[in-house]
Amino acid sequence: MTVGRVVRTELTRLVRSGAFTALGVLLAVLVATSGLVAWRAERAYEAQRRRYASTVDEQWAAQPDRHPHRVSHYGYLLFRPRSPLSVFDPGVTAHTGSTLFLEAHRQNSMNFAEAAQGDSPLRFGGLSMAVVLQLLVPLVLFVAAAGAVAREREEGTLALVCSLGVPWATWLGGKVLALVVAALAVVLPGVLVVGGWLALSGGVAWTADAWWRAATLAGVHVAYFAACATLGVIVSAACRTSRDATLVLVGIWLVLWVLVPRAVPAAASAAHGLPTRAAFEAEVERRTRALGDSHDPADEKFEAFKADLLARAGVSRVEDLPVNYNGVQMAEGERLTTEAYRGMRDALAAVRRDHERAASLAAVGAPVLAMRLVSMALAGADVAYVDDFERQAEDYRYALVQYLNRLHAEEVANAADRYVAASGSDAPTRQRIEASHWRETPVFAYVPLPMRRSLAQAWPAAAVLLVWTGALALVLWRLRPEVWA
Amino acid sequence: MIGTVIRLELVRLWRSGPLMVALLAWVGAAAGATLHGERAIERQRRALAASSALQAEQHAAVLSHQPPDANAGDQLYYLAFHTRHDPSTWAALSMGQRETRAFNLKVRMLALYGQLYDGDLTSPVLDALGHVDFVFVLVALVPLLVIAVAHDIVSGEHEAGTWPLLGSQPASPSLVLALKLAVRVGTVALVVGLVTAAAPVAVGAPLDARVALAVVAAVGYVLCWGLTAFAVSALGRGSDVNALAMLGLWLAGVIVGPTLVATVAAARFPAPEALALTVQQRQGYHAAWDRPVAETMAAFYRRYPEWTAVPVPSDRYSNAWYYAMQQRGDDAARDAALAYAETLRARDRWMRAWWWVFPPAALQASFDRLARTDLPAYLAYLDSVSAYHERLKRFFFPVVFSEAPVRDVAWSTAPQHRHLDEGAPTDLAPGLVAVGGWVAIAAGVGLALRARFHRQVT
Repeated sequence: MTVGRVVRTELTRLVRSGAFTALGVLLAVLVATSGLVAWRAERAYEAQRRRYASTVDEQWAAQPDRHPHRVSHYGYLLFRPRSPLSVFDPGVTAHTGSTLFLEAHRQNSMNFAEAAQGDSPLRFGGLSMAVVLQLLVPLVLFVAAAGAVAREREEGTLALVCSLGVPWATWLGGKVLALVVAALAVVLPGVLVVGGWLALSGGVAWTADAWWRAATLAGVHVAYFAACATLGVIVSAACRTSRDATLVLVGIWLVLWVLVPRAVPAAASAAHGLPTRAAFEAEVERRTRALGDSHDPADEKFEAFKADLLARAGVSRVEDLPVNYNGVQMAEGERLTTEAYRGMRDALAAVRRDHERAASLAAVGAPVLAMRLVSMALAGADVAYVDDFERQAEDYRYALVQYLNRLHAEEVANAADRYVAASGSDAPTRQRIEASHWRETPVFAYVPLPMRRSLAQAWPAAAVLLVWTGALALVLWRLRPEVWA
Repeated sequence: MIGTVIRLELVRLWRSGPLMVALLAWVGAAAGATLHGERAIERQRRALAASSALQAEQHAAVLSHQPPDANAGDQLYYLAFHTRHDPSTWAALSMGQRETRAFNLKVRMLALYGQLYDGDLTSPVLDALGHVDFVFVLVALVPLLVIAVAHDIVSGEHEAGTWPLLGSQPASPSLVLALKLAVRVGTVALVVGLVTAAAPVAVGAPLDARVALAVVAAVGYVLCWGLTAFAVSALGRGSDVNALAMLGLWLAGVIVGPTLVATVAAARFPAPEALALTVQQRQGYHAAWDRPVAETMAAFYRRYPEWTAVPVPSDRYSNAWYYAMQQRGDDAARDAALAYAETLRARDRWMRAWWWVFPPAALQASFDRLARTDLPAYLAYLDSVSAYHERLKRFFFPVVFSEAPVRDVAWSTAPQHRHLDEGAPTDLAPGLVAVGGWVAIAAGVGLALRARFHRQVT
């Protein structure tokens, strides 16, 4: 009896069982529905993002002659582009903002997170394809696997198989393979429909990195289905009746797939607390206040800096410097405050990483957590991906502001750098520089996090998933089921 | 005879190890969730209490830095005023989105719409996994209890072989089974009701009509699921099929249905006004720097005509001009901001219409309303912050327009903000109606199946 034979027999049994066919159809519909809804939302978001990003660009280039420091307060607006695979797994996307305002002296938060605008009251999040594949498919697999061995034992055919001398590993492996094939048969139509729609509609930046991510995601999910099917078959072999097996498997699903993941945030946030925004910003302000006010050329905290600059230029007065001292002091102030802020932001990121580590630890008991973390990382929808965007945005903010500060130092004469009396038809202003400068400022070139680095960030979860799969495969390989009921 | 049946059933329940364990586990989960909710809300209360000290510290640091004759209007750029959204007494039980939304916004006198939409610091990965509170344990886990207890009311008799015995009883079999159902479901209802009465007291909510209605809602909810289990049972399939069918209903009603509705709602109401108002506010404010002072002040006087008579220099920088420019930013974004809030409310209303089909979501949404942790409560807080910002402006405009020095300003009399609303018992009405409707439907179906049920026995 070959593996192929076992697979075919098992598949026939599954198809004949009305329950599995009904569940399978339901699941397929859910996969397709969730995928299409997510695709539609994604398309709307991307169109909106493009529209406002080009508006911001036009407004930036269309600025009239202005003082450079005015422009650094005018700032720049960024709208976070989403990874193309977040249609499949939105991950933390709903809980992170989409709009970031870049300006001098301040680091702002990303605002307008989707979940803050309205969420399901039971807070199970949204129904994405990833949720259907990672939460619901295992349930269907368990229900189907419950009878795989136990029913044969009840019907007495298990003794027959044993007497034929079929190696247990082959036979059990065949069962698992059949279940995986059945799960894929249920899931693939929906995935292909959505994938086809995505490919045909275009409009999404589908790079080579995205293809790699998609391929890896597919592989990981097949392995995940195999692991769940293996667990189901093991329990089925261990339980006397298929009814017991169903009960145990459904119980396992309820506790490990639904309840434990839900309890993790409570435990993790109790163990590692985040400060409130007010406390965090108060601390940032304390540190930056100590650094002085870079708007005020007479601020005593910059005395040493000023003296040093004068000494190196070999002059005794600020007015004799070849550059505008105001601009130089602004640049120095920006450097100091950015350094202070980045230190605090890294401390915050460390707490968030602790939370993720806690979730990976809990995944040792609940493999679905490991699967979710790996899936989010591969889909480009985890905290590391969003953090990477924020980091690049902050680097761009710093580069842009310092570019403008250099313009302030080099293009604006110190003598003209104060508010002058205006005629009735003009606004009071300091010296303005030409608008052509705004077309030469650095441009934000966002490089999405490559898959290699995403996986590196998610290595604890990936390791847990590998260990689970390996352990289950090992148990299955060595399993010798009880032949008689 | 009825007494015997009841006593026997109680003994059977008490002796059933797994069922007792399930009940205890539920009570433990409810206690844990209540404790977690209380701790989270306590953390927020402490932060709010510390907030006025933080504000005082910042004001002292900014103001003491200046000589007493420095321009007070200049300092207003830096001074942050803390707003407080106090949690209601029920917030610990039904936390809604309180942990992810801002509750302690700081506002400066600058344009409002650049400050209003800041979020609080959260951990997105934990938010994505979802939080637990007492009402979640009630709404999502009680059905599992009821399923465990009630799924084999009928089929258990079949499988234990005592079914023919029932037919031979002097009382009608449906009465006996109804009694068994009443005992089992009644026990669960008693436990759930007691815990639901204890939880609000444990977190410090006053013992009023809201507690009573919450208990009624919880008991009604248990009844829904019990009657549904009975109806499914009366169809005459095996215990495990019953359990699976009930589990499917639980999945549909608690997990799949509400999340699908929320996902579709987000796709249907994408709220582009958020990006629009951000762009408009920034453009409206900065464009004013390039316009003559008189033009900006004219726009300002349309809104605050009481300042028309006070002269504002048009040939140099002045704080009055600066804050008039900030006002232009707000004016440019006001329409988009109002449209944004309206879109969010429309999305919320659309979802709530769907909760009539999913009573578990209706119940949780009602509790969120009672605890004032839902979206309309957050929007009400934002409205109160907008009103406070307006009061701040009106308090400080005299300071700005008169170019008063720091020492002449009564800083400590500046307006303070506090926003607290408590839920009313009527907030639970939608949940109660949804649960009541479901009880009626389940009872109706059960009664209709009684006929078929009789045929099975005889």
